[in-house]
Amino acid sequence: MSLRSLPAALRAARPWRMAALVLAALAAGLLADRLREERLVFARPFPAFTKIPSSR
Amino acid sequence: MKAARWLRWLLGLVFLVAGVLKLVHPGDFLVELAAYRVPFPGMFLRLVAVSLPWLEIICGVCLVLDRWPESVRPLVTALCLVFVVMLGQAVVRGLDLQCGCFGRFGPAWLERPDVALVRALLLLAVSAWLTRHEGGAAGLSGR
Repeated sequence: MSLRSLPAALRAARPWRMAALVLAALAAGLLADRLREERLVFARPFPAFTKIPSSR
Repeated sequence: MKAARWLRWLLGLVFLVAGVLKLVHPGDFLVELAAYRVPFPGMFLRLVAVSLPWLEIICGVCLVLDRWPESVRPLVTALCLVFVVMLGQAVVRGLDLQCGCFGRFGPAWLERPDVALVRALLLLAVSAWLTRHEGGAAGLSGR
């Protein structure tokens, strides 16, 4: 695949469907996070992640 | 082609297993992401930690079932490329971390960044080959 054929290849990949898959994963992740006890995104005390550690 | 089908199933199962194992403990996955020390905001890392396992599961299922190959295979290739870049920078910087690919369930040696980098390169090669020759965007456009 040459660089010149890249735009055509990207169009053929149906970017809207790729974006839909990513958004579906994001939605599922956020929903699962909302339902979890251990929440990473939604506000809820989670002591280990009030500050993300810079190293282990 | 038989080999292509086996490779597709293998790639799909790897993504499926990796996604499910990460999903069990997303908190651990966030800690492992933070250990890569990339300059992204904390909220972005949190969103990645909650959504990447689902994206891997969706891609894994689509690969196994051969659903939407023209979209899923380039997406998987892009994901593998991101994994290679992340692991590559970790190896170059000599970061002491567990790759986090299989949650906390992977054996320690399999989670070493150099081993994980080789694995990610292999996955990238397989996904790029599937995309190019076996029904990905470029493959389909040529038919």
